[in-house]
Amino acid sequence: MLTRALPIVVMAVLVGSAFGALLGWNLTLERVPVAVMEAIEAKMIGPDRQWNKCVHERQYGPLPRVARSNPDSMVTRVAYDLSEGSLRLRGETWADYWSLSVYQQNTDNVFVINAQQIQGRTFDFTLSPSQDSPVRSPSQRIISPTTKGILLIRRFVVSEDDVPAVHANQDSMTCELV
Amino acid sequence: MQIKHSLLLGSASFLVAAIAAGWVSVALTKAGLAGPKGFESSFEAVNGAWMYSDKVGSPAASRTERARVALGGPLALSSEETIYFMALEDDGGDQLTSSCDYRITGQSFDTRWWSLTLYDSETQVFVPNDTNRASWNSRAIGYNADGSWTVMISNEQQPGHWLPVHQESDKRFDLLLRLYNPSAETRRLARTLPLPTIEKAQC
Repeated sequence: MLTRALPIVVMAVLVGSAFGALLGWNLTLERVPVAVMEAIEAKMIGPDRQWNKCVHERQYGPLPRVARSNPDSMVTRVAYDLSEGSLRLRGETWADYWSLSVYQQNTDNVFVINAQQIQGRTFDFTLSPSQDSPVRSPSQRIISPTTKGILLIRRFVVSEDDVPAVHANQDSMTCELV
Repeated sequence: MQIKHSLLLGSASFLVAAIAAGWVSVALTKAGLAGPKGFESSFEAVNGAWMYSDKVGSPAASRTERARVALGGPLALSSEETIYFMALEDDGGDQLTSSCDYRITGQSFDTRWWSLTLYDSETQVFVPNDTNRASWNSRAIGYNADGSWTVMISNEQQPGHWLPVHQESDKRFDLLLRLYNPSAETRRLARTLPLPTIEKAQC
């Protein structure tokens, strides 16, 4: 009986191995970026699970934040969850390089705008899950393709002398779920 | 009866083989993505020792490129906003290590801000040092009379612009050159831009 079953077993092992290997490879490629985002978001929201909160980096210089981060930047970061509304962010841009960027849940940078693309020195954006979500004028809509993700505001700093001004810039920002 | 047994045996073999191969595949894929040739595999050689990528942070990246970048440099800006260059070797083709000193010489770029940052290739974060220095940028650096700039990389303090590396020898490090908000011309010529030279000074 075993002799008769052997070809079937060998074939099943070969096909099963190929199927498992392909499935494992595909699942890993899909899952890794999302797992990285979830890990960063978990750090950002902390044990109190505070989504949609602007967290300002107060210290300047090399800090081991995430792999290959830029030490020139004092970042404001938000781990967002738009399942209960849109996130409105208002504030002032920064004299040196400033940008606002949005990362969907697979790490893709789906939106970026820098200070030179904004008229004046103030910004007002509403991050919403769809075109149908209401946006209060004069706020400009940004659509996030995923309900969760990360928003970063980068301010580039020349030296420690800039830190008090960066803190004032950060403190003047408002982040609210609308 | 015998056919039924053979089919049962075949199904069980299929399942066991699929699960085992799946686990091995997940482990090997993860190791390949996170390994020493993971992040930099998303870059292509362009000029001297430098490699370029327009896939960092980009929705146009393949699934493999996206996964590699997620592990080696997540939350990067897309090439629409920032141009990334990476160097793992000097101009002679030797790997950058803490056993040697290097002289980096370059010109300014037509961009809102540029920076040169040194990372430990193993930990992928900054090399701890007493001066708390891991980068030089277009605003902080001083330019030579001819408009060029020079940065020295060494584990001993250097005059001028110094980037410290590990005190231990044989530690691998890499350099990232970032051009933020580049002009349209700079973006268009990204693959052929004149990039800094990385000269081995002494070992």
